Amino acid sequence: MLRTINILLVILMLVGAAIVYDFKYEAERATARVAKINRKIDAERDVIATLKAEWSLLNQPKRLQDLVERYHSYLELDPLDPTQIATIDDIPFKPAVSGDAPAPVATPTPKGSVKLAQPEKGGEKSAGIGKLLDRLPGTRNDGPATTGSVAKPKAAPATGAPLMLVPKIVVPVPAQSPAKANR
Amino acid sequence: MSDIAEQSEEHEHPEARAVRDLSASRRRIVVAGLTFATVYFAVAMRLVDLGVASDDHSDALASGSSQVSTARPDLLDRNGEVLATDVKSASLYAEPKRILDVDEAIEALATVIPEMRHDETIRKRLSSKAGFVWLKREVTKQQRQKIFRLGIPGIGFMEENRRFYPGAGLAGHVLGTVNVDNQGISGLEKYVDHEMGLADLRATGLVVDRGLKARRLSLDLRVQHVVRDEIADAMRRFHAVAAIGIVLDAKTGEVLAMSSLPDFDPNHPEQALEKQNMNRATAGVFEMGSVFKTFNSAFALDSGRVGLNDSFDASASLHFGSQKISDFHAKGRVLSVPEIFIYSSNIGSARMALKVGPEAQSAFFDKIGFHRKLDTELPEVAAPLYPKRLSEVSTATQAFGHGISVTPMHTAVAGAAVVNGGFFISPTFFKRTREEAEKIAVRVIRPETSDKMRYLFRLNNTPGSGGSGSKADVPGYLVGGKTGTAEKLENGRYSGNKRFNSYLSAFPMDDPQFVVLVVLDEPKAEKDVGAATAGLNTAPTVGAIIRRIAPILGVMPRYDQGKPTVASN
Repeated sequence: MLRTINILLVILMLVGAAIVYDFKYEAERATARVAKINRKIDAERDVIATLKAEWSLLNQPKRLQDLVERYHSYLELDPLDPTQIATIDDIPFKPAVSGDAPAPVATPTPKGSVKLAQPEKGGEKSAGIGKLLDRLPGTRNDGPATTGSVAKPKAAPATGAPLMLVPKIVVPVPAQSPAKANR
Repeated sequence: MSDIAEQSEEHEHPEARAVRDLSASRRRIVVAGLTFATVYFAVAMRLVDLGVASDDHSDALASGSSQVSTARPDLLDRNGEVLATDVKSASLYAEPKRILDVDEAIEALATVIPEMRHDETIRKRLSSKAGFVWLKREVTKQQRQKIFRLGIPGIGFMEENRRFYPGAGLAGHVLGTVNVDNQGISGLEKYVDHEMGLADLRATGLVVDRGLKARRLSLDLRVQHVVRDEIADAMRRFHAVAAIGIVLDAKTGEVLAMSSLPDFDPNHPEQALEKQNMNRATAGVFEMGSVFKTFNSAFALDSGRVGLNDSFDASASLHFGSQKISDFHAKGRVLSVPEIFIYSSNIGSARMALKVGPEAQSAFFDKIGFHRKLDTELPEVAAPLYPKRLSEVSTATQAFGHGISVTPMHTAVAGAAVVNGGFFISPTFFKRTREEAEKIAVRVIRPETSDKMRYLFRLNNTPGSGGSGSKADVPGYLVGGKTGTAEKLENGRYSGNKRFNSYLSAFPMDDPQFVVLVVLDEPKAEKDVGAATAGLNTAPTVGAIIRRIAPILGVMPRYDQGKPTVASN
């Protein structure tokens, strides 16, 4: 009896020792891993800091202004004029159309892509916003995309849908407006 | 083992002999045991010694890392754009004790850094008995790789933080500079060090390397760029010696932009030491000239003894002994208070000040901060110069900004107090909310006086009114302001052709949000334009600045405002 207990206890002790041994090494491995990860995190942080510094270096207003001035004939970016600022209230509502008359459709002109492809014609000044409209991706013909950054022109807008400059604005009284106009 | 007793008897009892042998071997065992114990103890002690005693190498590294430039908090603009940050760079060090052959080491290093070959200080350092010496701070990546490959014993690299300013000269005077150990030595860098106790921490050897919270300044990177760009342009156009531009938030005292040209690139701190690159905006005092008529009018109107409809005789020069006060744009007639303001009449302003009295003027100038240093974070602030003794003549000259020298920042802050409803708020370079500003605001003039001043400012800028500031107007933004064309003192006399021009303005004038001050030092007239007065150089510069910054600052243009009117008088 006593002998069995003794054997059992010895076995238990051996097993316990093995487990503790394993724990200890597991912990050591974990510590090493943590240290390694911490070093990696530090290195990443340094890289992030460097990238941030580089980002702000590339985004300096001075640099951007120089770029805009240098490529002015191509980009035609000009300083904002106070008269160009307006709120959404300043834009008149679409004139209400009575009956089944079709809504007026903005027909895009197909000269946008051609214009973009010829930057040397920088002196040409047409109506500012009209030209911008021509360059909207959706309004262009399937001409060749001139730069990689400009999205490839998609299919022409479905006829009947008005050309939206701004994201859809919910006009508060769309249902009653034709009736009101009839009065 | 020689101490075993001699056997005196040849024959004895075997039992007794056994007992004697046993005790002898016991003694031998004890002795042997003691010997081994001593040896083991010695080994153990040596182990402890080795364990506890640090070696020279880690000692040297420790002394080196305490010298490594530590991390600093990033400085961001009000929108979170980086103005100053730390980047890691490697520095080359040596442990002379571990170097086997100095000549060989220098020869090898010279293949990468040629100037080291004939550098005597490097040789001296390497031959010394020191544990740790710096050889070169901030080594490039390529050099580092090459030196690594050389594998010279006792030579190594330590990562250091180097301060980097992506904007270069953009806000040099505000940000300041750091030394090679990354300690702030001027500007806000110095203030941040002082405020966060970084300097003390470093002195006690506690160096923090990470987790420093970025500090957000009140500057707006974009506005700062616009101001610097426009005043640099004006400086070129009018061949000025120096130019200063300040944009203040009128309600909080936050400095949105402050530029003083010529300036320096904080990435090259040595440029900051050149005298011409000094910070004129807060560390230079000047006789501001006619912009002081703003404060003179405010003080006269606030006293209640002068009203907007009063008029003063400006037909003849004013004489004080040998001194004579006359007008630049002399009208030679009686002028009303608004006319004195918009025609910038020295005589009229002097008469207004004299009517109220020297004591009241001095007290008012004291209230709006003209008699003390600026209370702000920037360490570089100059004390104003003003006459300590009150006299009629000094009162008369101070009415139009002569005989008193203040910094341009003083002028801008006082200008904000005049238009923002009458609250003096010390300028700050860190973010501040309206509530915080209200707590420290001190009322200096009555709200009604501020209303009248806003009317005068706007009137002076309205095209067609004949005001000197009409060239600063930007349609839609209701700009108002006051010109200043001061003659510079040269060898004790006012020089007729060296000018100090300024324009103090605010917008939108019905509820001023921002104060803009532009100063040009010694501008020359453009070829086709006759004069070099403030109305022709600083006023258009202010207009150009406002045209560009107003959309950035979110001020909506309005076109429905009629002619300036004043509610009551």
